[in-house]
Amino acid sequence: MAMIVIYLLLYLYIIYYDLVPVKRNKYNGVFVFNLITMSIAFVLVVLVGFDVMVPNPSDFIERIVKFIIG
Amino acid sequence: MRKEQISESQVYILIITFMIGTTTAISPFIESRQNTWISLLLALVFATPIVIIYGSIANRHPNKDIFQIFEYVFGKIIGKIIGVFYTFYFLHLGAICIRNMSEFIHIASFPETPQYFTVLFIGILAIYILKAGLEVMARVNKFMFPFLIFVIGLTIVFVFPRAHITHFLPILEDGWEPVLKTGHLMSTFPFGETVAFLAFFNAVNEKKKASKIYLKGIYLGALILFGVIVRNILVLGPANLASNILPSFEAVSLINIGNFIRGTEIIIAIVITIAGFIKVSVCLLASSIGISRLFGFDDYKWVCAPLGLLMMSLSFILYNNAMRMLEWVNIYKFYVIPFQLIIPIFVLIFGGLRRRTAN
Repeated sequence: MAMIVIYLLLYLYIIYYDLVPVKRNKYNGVFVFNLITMSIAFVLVVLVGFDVMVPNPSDFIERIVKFIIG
Repeated sequence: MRKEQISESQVYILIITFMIGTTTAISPFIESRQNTWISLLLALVFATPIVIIYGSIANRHPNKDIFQIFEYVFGKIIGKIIGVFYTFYFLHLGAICIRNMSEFIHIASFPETPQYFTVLFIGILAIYILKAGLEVMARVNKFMFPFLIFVIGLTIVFVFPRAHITHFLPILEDGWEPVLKTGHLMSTFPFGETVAFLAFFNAVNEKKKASKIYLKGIYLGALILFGVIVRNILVLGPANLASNILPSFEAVSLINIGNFIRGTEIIIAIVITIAGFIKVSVCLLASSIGISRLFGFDDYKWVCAPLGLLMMSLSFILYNNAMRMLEWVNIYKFYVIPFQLIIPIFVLIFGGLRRRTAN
């Protein structure tokens, strides 16, 4: 839980100083991209904070590599 | 936006720091034990042509970064698709580096501190330095570099009383196979990872000297790594090397000169952390440039904070524990072959053909 709270504070800081100015200057493409990326990152933090097993890219890559090299 | 420019010396120093970054922290080169120095020399032989390819690519397209080169060589659609894969690779590499650093700090210095705390500070620092820009990162690195070299050099001198030349023996005890396997691994980690520098090589003043700069960087980096590896072998010996994932830290912790100079492992931990942070910053920079090219954003600084946060989150879910991290190295050395070797070769060949048809 402490992890989620600490990261939430960091995200709020970055939203205030990074995301809001982007929106204010009407860079809508950048705003949407940043919002989606930060949402994914925060969902991962919450899942890890609650000890939920998250499928990770390393396992996926490992499966592909093993499929190719045998 | 003002175009950022960095000098030749700043780039090759950046390459050296990038190379000693996580390689000195956690050693996956367990298999070759006392023959790791031979593996390093073999890796240098394997890596030299690869790095010449990177340099040639940068020489041929002096005003383009790697993502623009893909679009120029392969066309807009295929170029963008390859760019997506490279951006993911740089993001993934950055997450791996953050995880390596946090595992190192967790095992060596702060076993009671949760890893997310270490990750938080490495990530914030990388985002902060990228917000300041590439020039600032290069200048910070150049400022820190003499300290890194001084400390590494000092530890090599100080461990001499505990060094045993017999630890090199027997040479090639298990034949060439483990040495070649480690050589292959070393050519991908850290030599091949310098492909990340192609993402911002267009910012270098001396664009025509790319191959020379690249070679200077990897040879000097290899020289430092050679010193570190020989130090670890001389002090720890084959048995300890095979069972230790933090050989640098262990070797330096044995320094004790007249009960006066001891406890120096904390300095080497600081050095490794600084070098690792620079490596994470380079990976974050490369992935930010990739995203800004893919989506047509004007400035990479707009996306470096969200990408840094994603990198930090990715580092949590990459592995369950440190041993899994070391096992994954055997997958990593095959996973990176397209990014470090196959695609750059294609870029060089098709880039040459493209230029010829354009002329």
